[in-house]
Amino acid sequence: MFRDPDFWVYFRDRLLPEVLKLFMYPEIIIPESVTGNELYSLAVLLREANLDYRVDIRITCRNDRIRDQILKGAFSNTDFKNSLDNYEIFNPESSFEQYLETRNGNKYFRSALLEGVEIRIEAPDRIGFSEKTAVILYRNRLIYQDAGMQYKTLRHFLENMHEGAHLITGLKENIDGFGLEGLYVPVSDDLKIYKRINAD
Amino acid sequence: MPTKALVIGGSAGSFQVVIRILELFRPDLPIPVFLCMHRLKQVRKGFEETLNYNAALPVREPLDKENIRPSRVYLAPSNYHMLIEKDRSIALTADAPVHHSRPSIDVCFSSAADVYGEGLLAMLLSGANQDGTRGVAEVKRLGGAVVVQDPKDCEISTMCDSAIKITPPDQLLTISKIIEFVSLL
Repeated sequence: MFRDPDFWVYFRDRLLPEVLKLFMYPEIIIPESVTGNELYSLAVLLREANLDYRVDIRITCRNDRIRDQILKGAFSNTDFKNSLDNYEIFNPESSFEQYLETRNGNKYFRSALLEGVEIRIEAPDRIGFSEKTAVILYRNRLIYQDAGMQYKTLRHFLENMHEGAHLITGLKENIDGFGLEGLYVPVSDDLKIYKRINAD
Repeated sequence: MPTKALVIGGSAGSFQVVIRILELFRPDLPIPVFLCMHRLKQVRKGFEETLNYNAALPVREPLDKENIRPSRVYLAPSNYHMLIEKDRSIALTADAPVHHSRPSIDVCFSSAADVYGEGLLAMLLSGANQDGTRGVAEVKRLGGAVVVQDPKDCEISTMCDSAIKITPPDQLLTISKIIEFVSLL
């Protein structure tokens, strides 16, 4: 949870205000969710910013099993200390544990966090975007793809995103060198945040 | 078999040794160096810069799928596993930690052994857990050479003790001998 906490601080304090200037009711898509960590981090962030009523979250999963696992909200004990440390950096004024409940000795995210979240079973290169799709949060998924699949996915994202929408990848992922450079500009090289520009 | 790559793993107590090693490489070292060190996940900045400060070779955290070149030190990025691929590129993953470690020395050493085989030289330094034990065994199994810091000379000996209990190293060296060894590469 809250992997790379300085990214989440930037997202909350810098990126989100910019997004809200352009999109009245933005949608954030998290393609190919596997662990649900990005989803729950984002849901907490929006709740704390009192923006959960205004910003929609859509995630996609490869299959039902992954979706059900994410919906269950089971929180791995091995991740607990790390998540607490990350959250402490993200929001030192608050307590991460308020978002968890314990059942039968195991920790789970409170299901209310996912109210309004849309979940689809869909491959990342099939995702449809709308006028309100403002951010594609795609961190640390490209590293599991070969160059051909990376190109296919990135091309689908970048060609279908609307001008002004943002694509975010993992800190050590690279989207340069695919011949798509005319479609985006970096907003933060360090945090791998890119903005879709008009190709003309 | 000439050495084709060097992989170094270290954890608690290895930082100063690594700094010394990095100072001593010759600038035209004809092989790549992979450096896998445990560190705080939350702190992304400063480590690479500190290691670079007096290093004889450029030290950098690679991007995923970056091509490997000689005379470079590739530092496993914080919170990613670093693997060496057959096509001589670097792969990063965000898979689960191994021995509570990401990057994991086991993961890095094993993948490097798979690619470089007898041409790999692995060096395991001071540390406080058992990461590296399986990696060192893999390097030996695939014909590579292993140097382990003498546990008596380690700030924290758990990692080296654990490795040599399973796999006898080719050389067990003190810090001063490791430094001498590296300067001869």
